[in-house]
Amino acid sequence: MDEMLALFADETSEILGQLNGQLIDLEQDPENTELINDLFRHAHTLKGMAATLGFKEMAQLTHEMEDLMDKIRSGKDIVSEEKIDILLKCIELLEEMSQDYLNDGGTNVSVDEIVSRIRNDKETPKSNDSKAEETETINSISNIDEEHLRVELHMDKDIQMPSLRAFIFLNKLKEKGFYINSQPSIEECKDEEKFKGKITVQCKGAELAIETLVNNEFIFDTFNISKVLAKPQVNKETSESSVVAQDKNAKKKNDKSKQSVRIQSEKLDTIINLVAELVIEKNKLELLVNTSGSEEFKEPTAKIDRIINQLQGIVMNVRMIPVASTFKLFPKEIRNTSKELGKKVNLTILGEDTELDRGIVEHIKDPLVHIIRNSLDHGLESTAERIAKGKPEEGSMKIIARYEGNQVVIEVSDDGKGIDGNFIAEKAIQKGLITAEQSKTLTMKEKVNLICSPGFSTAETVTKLSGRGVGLDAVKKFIEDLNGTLEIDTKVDEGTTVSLFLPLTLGIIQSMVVKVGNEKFAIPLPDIETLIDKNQAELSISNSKEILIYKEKTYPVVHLCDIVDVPMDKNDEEFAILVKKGSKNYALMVQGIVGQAEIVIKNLGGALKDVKQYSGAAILGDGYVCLILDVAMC
Amino acid sequence: MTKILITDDAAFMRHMVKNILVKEGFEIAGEATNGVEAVSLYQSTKPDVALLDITMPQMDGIEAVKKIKEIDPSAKIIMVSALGHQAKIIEALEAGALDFIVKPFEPARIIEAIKRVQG
Repeated sequence: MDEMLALFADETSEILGQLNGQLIDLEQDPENTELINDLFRHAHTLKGMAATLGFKEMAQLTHEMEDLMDKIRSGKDIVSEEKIDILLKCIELLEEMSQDYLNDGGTNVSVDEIVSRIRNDKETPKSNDSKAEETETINSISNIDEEHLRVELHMDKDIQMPSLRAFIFLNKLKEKGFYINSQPSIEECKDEEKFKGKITVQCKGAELAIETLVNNEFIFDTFNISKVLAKPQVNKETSESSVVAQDKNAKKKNDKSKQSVRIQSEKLDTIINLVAELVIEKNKLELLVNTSGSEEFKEPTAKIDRIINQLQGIVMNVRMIPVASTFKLFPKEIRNTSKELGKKVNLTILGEDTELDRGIVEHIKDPLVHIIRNSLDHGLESTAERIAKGKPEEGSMKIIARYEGNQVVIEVSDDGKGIDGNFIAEKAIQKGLITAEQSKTLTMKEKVNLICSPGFSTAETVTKLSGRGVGLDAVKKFIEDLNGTLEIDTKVDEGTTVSLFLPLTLGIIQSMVVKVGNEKFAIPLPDIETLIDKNQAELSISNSKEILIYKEKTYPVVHLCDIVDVPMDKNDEEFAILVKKGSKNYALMVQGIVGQAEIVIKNLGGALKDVKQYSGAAILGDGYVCLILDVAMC
Repeated sequence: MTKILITDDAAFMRHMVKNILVKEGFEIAGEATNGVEAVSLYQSTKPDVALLDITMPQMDGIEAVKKIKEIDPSAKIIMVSALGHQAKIIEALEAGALDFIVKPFEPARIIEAIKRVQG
């Protein structure tokens, strides 16, 4: 069942994402029948899934949505801004429910309010489509004076859509030549509402044949067959003379969509781990072949090397997904927020095809939403203010993803008022985050970056939107935890760009491997400011604490040998690594540098799990297992 | 063994139906995600019974019924639909489908429907 639930949650979120985008598109293009059909179909699919798992709230809500889309589709209702609002709200609730179902197996989300909103917001289309009058035809039955069977059937109460079942059953009788007439008639069975669960049929033919047929249906509770003398009967049949035009055009499917297979991410991770181990064993083999193996081993080993490299490339690529799945949520977010703020925004999204590790794509949604809200709330000026400044009335916001080296950069930029570094610095002094003295030594960029300090919030009054208790500091930390970095580029009155630099994959990081005694440790490159020879810097003591002075900057000194508890003579230390992560910025003294390496991170288990100075373990090319230092915790 | 073709655009639904059918000893002829696939799988796998979802991308279930019936007039097709889609189901029945089942499924209902169309 867990598997089903996971599949359900996965597919639901995919569909909701699509619905979101389609609703935004529909607002722009309210008469696009293809979109309306897609929306209907998606609501329908969700309903089926929810009902199957017994998720009543979700089934109810999607049913209402489907109903609404159906009305729009058939021209009984029209797309309005209010409708889009309602439907977007529905999606929000569905997202919440789906999470609840996944986590708790049930939900407290109530659908009553939204359902009544859906039902009350009915508009009649302007076009007065002349509905063809129903015409009545009267069919009379000719067979008189014959002995007939009269079959009284009571439908099982548990049967779903009983009128349709009756319709099928009567048609079967007719096909086999048993049917004469019935109450209700075959046509009347098409009308669900008039159907009462009881059918009386006049038949001709063998009693046994009919009885068998009835028994094979599994839909009747009780039945009674009796012989009657046929009487002429008048049977009213209504026939629909208006045929609803069906959209028969096969829907165009997005050409870009490729065949894909769903796979559990744990399985994928196992494959990645195995490939990583394979790489290591291959390296050992190469070493053996080159040192002690005979010539004939060389060629196959070289081949294995190539194949494994390809395999590694593909496997790492499997985890990559386009950022589009996260980006597609933004138009709605921005629409809602700007509407709430009464600001006009022109949004441009570029580079949705840029691919990142699945784990990263899933995690950057919240930080990006936060940055976007900040930008809308504090960055973009009000319309009046913009007019006064001679800026275009409509603010501009761009969200761009692109590759840069082995990183992906995601930029959120606006043409708003920008961030005034001096103003930020003053606030920081007021809040006691820095002293006035310190402030004087800061560059404008450093002042702006104070905005990311813990405990900083620029909003004069904390607004409902961006002031939700999480500041930019939390966003920054979050990005750093993903081995990424956050940068702010801003110019007063011209705008702000917040850039996230993200690694392509979660699993592999560039790192510096250092040595202490006989032990090796890896330090992620993003955490390293610079590496210097100990002799390039000045070491001294201040307040009985060791410090290192480099380029007129002072760093506290930390000895790696102390942290990892490897006894050695500190005079043998040759290098200082200036590390910076989060609020920590210090000089880490190491004995030697082994080199740079791409390492595959593995989570620590067992005894080392709780040792906070290590973030994981990595296996190096020579098969040596080394621990990865978390410099923020040293 | 009775071979069944499953058609639904939701992987979840296909999975669900498959579980039920396999448990009952049916053989799965194939799984289609839309009408176009259903028609081509019908042709290549020649199932005894085809389950067709009504609302699907590319080609909906009703179109698919028509196409399959063109290929094989004796095709046994069961429509799969949510409650309340009376008109659509009637359309499918008139196009040649023999029966229908309603989502959410009860295993017994699926089996009954298959028995009915084979009976």
